[in-house]
Amino acid sequence: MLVAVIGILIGGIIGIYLPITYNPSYSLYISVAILACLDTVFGGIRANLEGKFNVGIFVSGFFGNAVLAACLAYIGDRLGVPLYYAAIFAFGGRLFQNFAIIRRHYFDFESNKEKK
Amino acid sequence: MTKKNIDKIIMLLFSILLGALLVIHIRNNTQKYDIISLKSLQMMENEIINTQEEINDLSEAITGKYLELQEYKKVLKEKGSISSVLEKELETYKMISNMVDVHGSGIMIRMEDNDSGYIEGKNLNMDIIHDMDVIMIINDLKAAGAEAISINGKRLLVHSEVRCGGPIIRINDEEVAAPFIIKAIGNPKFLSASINAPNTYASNLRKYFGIKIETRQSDDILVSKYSKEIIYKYAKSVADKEGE
Repeated sequence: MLVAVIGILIGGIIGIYLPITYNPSYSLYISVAILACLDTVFGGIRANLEGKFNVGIFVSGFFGNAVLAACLAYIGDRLGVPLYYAAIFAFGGRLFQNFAIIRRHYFDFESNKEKK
Repeated sequence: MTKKNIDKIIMLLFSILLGALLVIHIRNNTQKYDIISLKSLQMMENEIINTQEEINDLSEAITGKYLELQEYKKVLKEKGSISSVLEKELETYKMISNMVDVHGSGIMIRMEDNDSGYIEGKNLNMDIIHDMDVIMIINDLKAAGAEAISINGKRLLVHSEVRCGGPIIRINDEEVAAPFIIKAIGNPKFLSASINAPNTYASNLRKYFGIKIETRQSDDILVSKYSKEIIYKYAKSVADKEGE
């Protein structure tokens, strides 16, 4: 958890100073991809806490989800159907789910004790 | 232990990547973008070009003024007074404000009313040269690059009027009667074309209304100066006001 927070902060500082710009017409795809990445990192934190962390799954999820979400948004744009909603609902829903589990891991002492 | 460390490092790396992506995206999204059509792009381009030209003109003017100043200083040093330079300048300004006689190549136009007899039912107004006819012809001459114009010896200034005064027309508050002789200095071929070319105002006058218009090209035409004084009662220079 702490590692991820520190990482995001460092990344933010790096991002302020990196002179990267892109065509604003890609903005939608990138925001969906970022949502996918966010979901993967939360999933990674959760897996870490549960002791089930797998590097392959994490890395493939990070890139695969992002690319898939962006592709979905692009295809949706071409077809005229807002397919990126699928990505937003799937990743958004899972993000809150993962966050709920992470919270329970930290604050639900009683059930933790029972486990132990 | 090592596996857990590797996990943590990978988590850290990807979190950094995520954070960087997030911030870059937010930074990129802060600006508002508008749809730009090709037309507006071109307009913007033209505007930029115009502004650059203006800047160039202004900087040229600055260098010109600087050279002038240098000249003044030089003459002042050599002769102790700058009256000779000022006199030369006065001549050019007189020339610009049409206060001197000028000569050069140009054309003479003679306009006369249609005097081919009265036909029953004919509107006599059609036979007469009106102030508007003269104005249109002068405009054509100016468009053809006339540098100095006079009508029956009345020099045309920037604020000269051509008004109807019954059987005569008034130019510079002086009466002028037909036949009108318009003298214009400029490229004789262009000036002549602006009068004689088919479908110009003057050629239509000649063709449909029977007004006699003759042109004569010449290598040396004298256009007399404006001899009255120009007094500005209301207009004041902005530069003077700023100086107060």
